[in-house]
Amino acid sequence: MTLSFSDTLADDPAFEAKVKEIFSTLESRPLPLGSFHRLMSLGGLNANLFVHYTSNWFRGFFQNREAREKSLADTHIHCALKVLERMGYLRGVVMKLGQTMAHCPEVVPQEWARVLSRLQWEAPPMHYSLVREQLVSELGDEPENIFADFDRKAFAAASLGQVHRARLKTGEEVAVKIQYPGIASTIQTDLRNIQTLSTPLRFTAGWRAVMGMYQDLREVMEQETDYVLEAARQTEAGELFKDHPHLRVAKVFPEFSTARILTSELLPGVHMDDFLAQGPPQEKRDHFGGLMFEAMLRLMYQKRWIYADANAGNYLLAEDGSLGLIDFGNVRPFSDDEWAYYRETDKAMVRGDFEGMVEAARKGLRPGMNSELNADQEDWFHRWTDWSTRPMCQEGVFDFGMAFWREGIELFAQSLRIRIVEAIPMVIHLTRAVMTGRALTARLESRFDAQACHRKILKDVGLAEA
Amino acid sequence: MRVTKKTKEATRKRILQEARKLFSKKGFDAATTRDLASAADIAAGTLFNYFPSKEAIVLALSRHALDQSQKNFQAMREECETLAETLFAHVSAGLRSLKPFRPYLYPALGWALSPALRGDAVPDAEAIRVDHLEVVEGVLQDYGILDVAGPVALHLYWTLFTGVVAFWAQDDSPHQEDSRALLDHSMAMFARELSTKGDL
Repeated sequence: MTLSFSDTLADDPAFEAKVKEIFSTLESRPLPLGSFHRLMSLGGLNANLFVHYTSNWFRGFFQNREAREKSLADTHIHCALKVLERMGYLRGVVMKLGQTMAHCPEVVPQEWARVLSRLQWEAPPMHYSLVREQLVSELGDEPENIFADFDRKAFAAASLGQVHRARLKTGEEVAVKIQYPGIASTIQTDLRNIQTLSTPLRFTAGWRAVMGMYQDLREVMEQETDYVLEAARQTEAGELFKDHPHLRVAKVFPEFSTARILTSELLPGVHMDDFLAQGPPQEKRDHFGGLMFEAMLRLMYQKRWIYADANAGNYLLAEDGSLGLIDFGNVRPFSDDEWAYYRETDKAMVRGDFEGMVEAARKGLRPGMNSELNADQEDWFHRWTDWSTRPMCQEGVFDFGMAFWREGIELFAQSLRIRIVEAIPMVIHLTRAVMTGRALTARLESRFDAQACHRKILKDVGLAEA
Repeated sequence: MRVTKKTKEATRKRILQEARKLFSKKGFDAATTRDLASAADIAAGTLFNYFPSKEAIVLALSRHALDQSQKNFQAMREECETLAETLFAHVSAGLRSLKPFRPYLYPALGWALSPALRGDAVPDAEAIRVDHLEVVEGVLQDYGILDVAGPVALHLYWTLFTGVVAFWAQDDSPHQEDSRALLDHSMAMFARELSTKGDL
């Protein structure tokens, strides 16, 4: 059956019914763990999407412009629903990819972004009996003996876990993040699949770079399954922001946390979609955009961390103006060499030395690629350096709205066309952090003085140059 | 001297108690039937009047533990929302009670929990199967699908169950989390199989 959807998906009953049906089906489908099963599932999805878009292309020959546009929009939604279903089913790395796509407006068709954004908080839940077993095996007792109250229904789900509200016997309201059993194995499986699917690239010039990225992704994803590590980072970040007037990090309760359970203080606030739905004034948009930017920079300069996964689900925007950071699973620390490289670009930026910035940034390309850039790639590299550093180079209030974001997306898309994607892994994480962070400030249509923020942080950490 | 039923029962209980201690202390392989008899204060030959092998002792211990787990399951059953979840809770309660025996359960499983096992060849194994499936039938009855299920479905269920237990007995993932994923998967698959048969 071909579904037809209205232009505004939010109120479309056919769309809502279909999303509901997908999640209801997913609830009864546990996580597939086998390597072959997961590989086939991804392969089948590609074939399915190909068929849908090809049929739409053929149909277009017999339609007028208006019908063609409607048909393409329907195909986008139809395919996005397929992707939603498959990503919700496979979870792990695959769902992570879906969440990232959903928060990058214009990287994927708008219809895709809207459908995939459902992955954020409507992922299929574990049933309570499974949650109970996870808690008993990890914390050693029944939830009712550990907590004063434990909400049987999850209030949030993400790629690796789901979160339940609870109250400790000492009275604190907490969020208990529980990891899906076996998810660590599925990540290994997904990464093996990605490696298998990348095999045709073996004979291309970019193979070494692909393998470098693969190794790095593996390390980062393995770390993300380790809630002990996440709890330690969350605690460190909490220490960093403890005196900040607006940045909040949920306090970790180590006695109720393990490698698979993370119990943190329940922070107040709403996620970005709910915040935007209230039609907030520009002042508030600027305030929260500025805080997201500041948090990312402070983590970078004061902890030497790249907060690599700045997706909307990781922030809570509170009525009192505070911004809660609630997920430290995807943090990539700089090595000393990487930090030295980053600081070289940074110093040139503060000096206002654009050519110095370009030269320093070139060191982030795959070794050897520096001297091989053709004219298009050189031109692109200059424009990318300009775009990525512009907010910190421009004096006064900077407009992070959609026009700026679109420019970045066009450059990003162009980088794929002219094949200038072979960078060292740290640059990939930094680019991801910049892109996902700017996707958020674009959605907020924020305007704030990024240069002043950057310079203040440099001064705070003693890195400001005379 | 005539051994009364009561004495026999007490001896059997003592053997199980001592076996549990000895298996934990020395390990299943290292504990001999002679050690077991000595610990239970009976002659070596007498032990075989009660249990034909060490594996049979493990099964008797398991049966007792599984019987105890029923109380836990009945408490959890109330809060289950779907057939798959109820079956998951049932098996989970059993696995929890079997946990103390996990290090030496595997050797007993190969033959005792085989889906091919029938009759009174190994009475405790047969009792475990009958008791377990009786509860499963009760669950299916509650969901109004016992008629849909039939003996083939129960056989399929038992195969899944024994597979999960065998996997769990050797699962070296942290806190046997892979077994929980496998159990969840298996019970959902079984519930789906019934729902497609019965169009539920």
